[in-house]
Amino acid sequence: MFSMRHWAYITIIFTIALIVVPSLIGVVILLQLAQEITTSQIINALSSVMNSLVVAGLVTIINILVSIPFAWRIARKNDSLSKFLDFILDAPLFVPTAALGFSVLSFWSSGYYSLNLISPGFWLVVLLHFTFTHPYIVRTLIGVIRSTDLSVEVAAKSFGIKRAALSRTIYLPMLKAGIIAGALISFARSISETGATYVVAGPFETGPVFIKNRLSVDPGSAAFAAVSLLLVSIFIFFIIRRISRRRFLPLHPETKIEKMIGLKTAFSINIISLLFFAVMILIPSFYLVAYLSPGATCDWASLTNSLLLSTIIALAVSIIDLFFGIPLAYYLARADSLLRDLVEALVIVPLIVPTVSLGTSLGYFWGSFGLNPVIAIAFAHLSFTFPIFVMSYTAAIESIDPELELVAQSLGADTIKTYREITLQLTKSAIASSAVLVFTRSFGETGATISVAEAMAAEIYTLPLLLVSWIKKAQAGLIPFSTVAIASFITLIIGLLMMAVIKMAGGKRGKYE
Amino acid sequence: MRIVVRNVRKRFGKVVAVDDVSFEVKDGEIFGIIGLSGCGKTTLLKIIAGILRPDSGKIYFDDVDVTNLALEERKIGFVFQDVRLFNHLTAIENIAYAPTLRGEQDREELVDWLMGFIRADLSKSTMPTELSRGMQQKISLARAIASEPNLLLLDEPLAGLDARIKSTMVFELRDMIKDVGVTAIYVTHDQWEISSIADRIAIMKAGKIIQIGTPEELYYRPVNEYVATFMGGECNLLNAYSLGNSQFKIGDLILKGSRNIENGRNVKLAIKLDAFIPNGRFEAKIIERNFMGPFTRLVLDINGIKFIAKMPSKQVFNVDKVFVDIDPNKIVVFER
Amino acid sequence: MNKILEVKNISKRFGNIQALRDVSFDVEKGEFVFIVAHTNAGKSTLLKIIAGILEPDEGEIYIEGENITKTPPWERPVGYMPQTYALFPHMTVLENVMFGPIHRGLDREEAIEKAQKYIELVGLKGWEKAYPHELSGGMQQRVALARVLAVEPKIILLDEPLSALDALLRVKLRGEIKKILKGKTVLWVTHDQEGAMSLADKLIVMRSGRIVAVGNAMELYYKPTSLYVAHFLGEINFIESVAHGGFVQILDTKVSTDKIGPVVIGIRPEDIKIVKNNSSPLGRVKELRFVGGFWRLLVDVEGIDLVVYSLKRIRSKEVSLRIHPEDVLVFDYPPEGIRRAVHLE
Repeated sequence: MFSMRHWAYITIIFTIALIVVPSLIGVVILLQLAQEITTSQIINALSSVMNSLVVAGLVTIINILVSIPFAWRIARKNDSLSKFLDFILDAPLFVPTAALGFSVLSFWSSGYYSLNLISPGFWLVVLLHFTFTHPYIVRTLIGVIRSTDLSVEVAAKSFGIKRAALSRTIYLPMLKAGIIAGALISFARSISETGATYVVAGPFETGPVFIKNRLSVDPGSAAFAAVSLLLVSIFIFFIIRRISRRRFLPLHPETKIEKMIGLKTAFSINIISLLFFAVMILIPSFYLVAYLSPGATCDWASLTNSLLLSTIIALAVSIIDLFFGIPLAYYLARADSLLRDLVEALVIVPLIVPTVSLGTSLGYFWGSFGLNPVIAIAFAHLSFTFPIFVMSYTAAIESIDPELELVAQSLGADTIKTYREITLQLTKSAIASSAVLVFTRSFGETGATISVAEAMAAEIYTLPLLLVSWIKKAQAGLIPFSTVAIASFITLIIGLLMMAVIKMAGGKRGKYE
Repeated sequence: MRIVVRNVRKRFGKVVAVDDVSFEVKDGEIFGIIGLSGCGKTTLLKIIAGILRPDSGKIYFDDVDVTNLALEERKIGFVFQDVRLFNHLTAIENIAYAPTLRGEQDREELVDWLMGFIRADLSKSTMPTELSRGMQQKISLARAIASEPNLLLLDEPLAGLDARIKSTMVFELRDMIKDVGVTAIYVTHDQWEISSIADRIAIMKAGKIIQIGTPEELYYRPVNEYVATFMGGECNLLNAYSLGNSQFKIGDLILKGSRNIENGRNVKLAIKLDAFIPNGRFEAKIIERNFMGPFTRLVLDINGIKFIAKMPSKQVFNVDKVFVDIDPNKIVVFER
Repeated sequence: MNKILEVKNISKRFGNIQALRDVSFDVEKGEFVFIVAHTNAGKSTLLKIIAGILEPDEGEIYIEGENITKTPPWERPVGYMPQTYALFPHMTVLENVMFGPIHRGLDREEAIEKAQKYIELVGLKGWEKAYPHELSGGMQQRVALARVLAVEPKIILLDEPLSALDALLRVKLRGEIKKILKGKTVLWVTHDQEGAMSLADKLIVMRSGRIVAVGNAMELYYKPTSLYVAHFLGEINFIESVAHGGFVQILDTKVSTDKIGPVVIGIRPEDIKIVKNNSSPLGRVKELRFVGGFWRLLVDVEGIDLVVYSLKRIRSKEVSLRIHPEDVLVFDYPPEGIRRAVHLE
């Protein structure tokens, strides 16, 4: 008889055959390509990877410092400001990074109404990366603060321990895992972002920009950089995982400084983190609106074509994710075996690998079969969206009491019926929001798409790729900024619509409580 | 430390959670507060702790008004229903938490003493999560006592423990608290538990205190039917009328009660389950029996009237009827 | 003999933890059987294995003589009610109760009819359209009961059905459940030894994954097979002693025994009588607590602390104690010591 388990096994085979194996073989192809490069090529490639590390590290550290008080406020204070921030917070996530790059560029750097403070280069890249990594850290932290039972604080407070020492001995150690998880996501996102970075980098080259620039002219260097970036990411992921298991510092008496930190200091920290959010994240993310002018026009035909192409790819990818992701998520949430842990690791890996490396290796792999580039791009999108869907839906199933399923089975429903009538009914909104999340990621992705296209030497313009090329043209003075603004604005609106759908689906969750 | 609670009120929206509550806890006393969930006992506890502010009324610690002091300033030792140990610290670090953060020197000695006190032999690296629930709760009590509190607050510390463990731990807790001599307030919904640990008990219902007294007073001298049923878990409540001379008539049965009511008045008798004494003059048929160890719960039929009784098990072995008397001191009389 | 359930040599291991070791017992038709044990003794695991939602490592389960060890849960004639009740939150009371009948092959009309019959039996008529979160804890429990009853199983498995409720409600509902389940075959798992003794036709005591005693409640309470069972079923005094010449002595009472050497004497607090006779041994009252219906005394007699129950308040500082030889239990001295032999976790 066919059961949930059989379905899950089929999915595992699918995952291995279409995601894991192609990526691995792709890496082997890259290694062959990279065999004959010179020392100077190696140094150039490595220094771009180094640049990525510096940017990601700097961005992540500053992000943690400003995000903790910010997330703390939203998670613990249930006022209207918190609710507003909670709603607006993820907005930069739903805007394709290419549009975000344009927006950030036009706020800080060049354009008619911009601040003209910073020209493209290292610092502008750092500022850009703040905008799209900040929501990841804050969102993770809010989740962790809300789900961690911090009621032990009452015990500590009853002993007369003040805020600062309380943070050191209770809050930070308890939230450690969440802080590290947030930092990891921020780091991974920063290190693999391509499209927007390419737009604002100027002469500065991060790893992904280096790969993008070299893929067609110097594939050996690009391949070498892609593999290095991939290895460095995995290495850092495991190092941080290891460190996070260590125990915290031993207890020390409350210091004088800690005793002095009172409500006033906390208040000013709050103000700083709020200001940071407004000036560094929110305004730059949406500044492109300033460039919209009534008379502006653009190449509507290309725009509609790209829009259509991106939508088709994103839709196809979401449907396939859904079909194979649901049973796999169910399996990960409910099974308890060595195979399960192995499968989980296999599913997570594409999530920490920079999409540009993934795209490069997949581009060469599918290119060697002469596959249609659009389908190859869809496969690349599958490989990084599938883990997102599976992880997100696994968490949703894990929040459902397994006893419900066991009782349903004992009442006479087999595993498929139990899933259909109990689990599915209780996780409908999570499926919807996970699917939209995946759609959004595919819709706005640049790095993997660009590298597949370049590796296969194909002229393909998904919406983000079209944006990147238009921005480059605008920077070169070939087309007006207002053209780019229109295109960016349309993508931004689509992104925000997606966000609204997710928030609405999420709001339904409390129905039966 | 003497604790005085005077005319405390607290409302949440339209619900009055604590309604004009006043009582006094003597120095070194274990004071119990009992009531069903939602009776306001947890809110009251939070007000005494300083987690909530009362709408009106005052709290005094040894004549000092602490009503407006925060939790951090009251020096309270809290023991929670859900334990709330610091799971990222070792068991010993938990106990030593308050003395360590205050930078007190003699903490090694104190911890040693407390370890002996809770009769635990913990290694330096034992984490709280490796311990049983009962032991965790003892660590939590030790942690509270190590902070040298003015007042110990225990919020249903034994809820969720196995029945048998609870019945041994309740006496251990009492011994530990009495050894230190700290004033304590103990909150629970379990009447057996509170009788075992508290010196005096306040029984709460709908935000009000209905009666304060020793366990024995609440059990045998309840002020109303609610208290009569609550303390003991079950109680026979029967309509009767007075014949004068402390005599009351129920159906064909004439019983002597604990006090006299004017002849001819309607009354309600609350007959406690342990009021039935063997070798008496009433013939009682046993309709139902539940063996509970030392005692057996019986449903008796005396002259067609049903009574619930608890009698020593060995006195009702293998018999289908017993002869009983009903102890007048255990028949509470309420006027109707 | 009409055996409904036979559990044969069940063992189950989770990683390093041996949850069940060689567990065997029977339940007969119409019997009310209690498994009573401390938390983590493996009693819930056992229920899940019988229900088929966990697989045993070894052993077999038979229902009416048929081996169902490999039968999936949805084909077993077993009703399982978990501790949390696990009501389906997105379904009404009626939908919850008819879930079983529908999946056991009844058509819609029949299923509704059957569900309504059992909703009425548990006293929830009129609540068919309510959702679980709109009901009180006690009502939710009754829905769960109706849902299990509606599949008309050969045996009903209850996992601590009362643990989610207030102490006062617990005593009341204990009797009610027994009434609703009258005539059914029931296997009920709990840590509450008093509740178990008061309702059980048969009691199974487990400790750390093993069955340590089976019998009727009074038998196990008065003639326990081990120190552990004696202690687990109710408060008891244990006194270390030595038997020689066919006797042991406690206070001035001589008890004959066939044991030789170090022994442990067990005596229940209610079996130590306070007497007015001056010739009986005198003890000093160290502590006196009223514990609802009786008094619990701690009496020091010749350096031994004894817990004694008294129905009357004792006002004097000294009391004379009398023990009858037939109330005294004699156990071999356990090699691991008394404390570890009776340890409850």
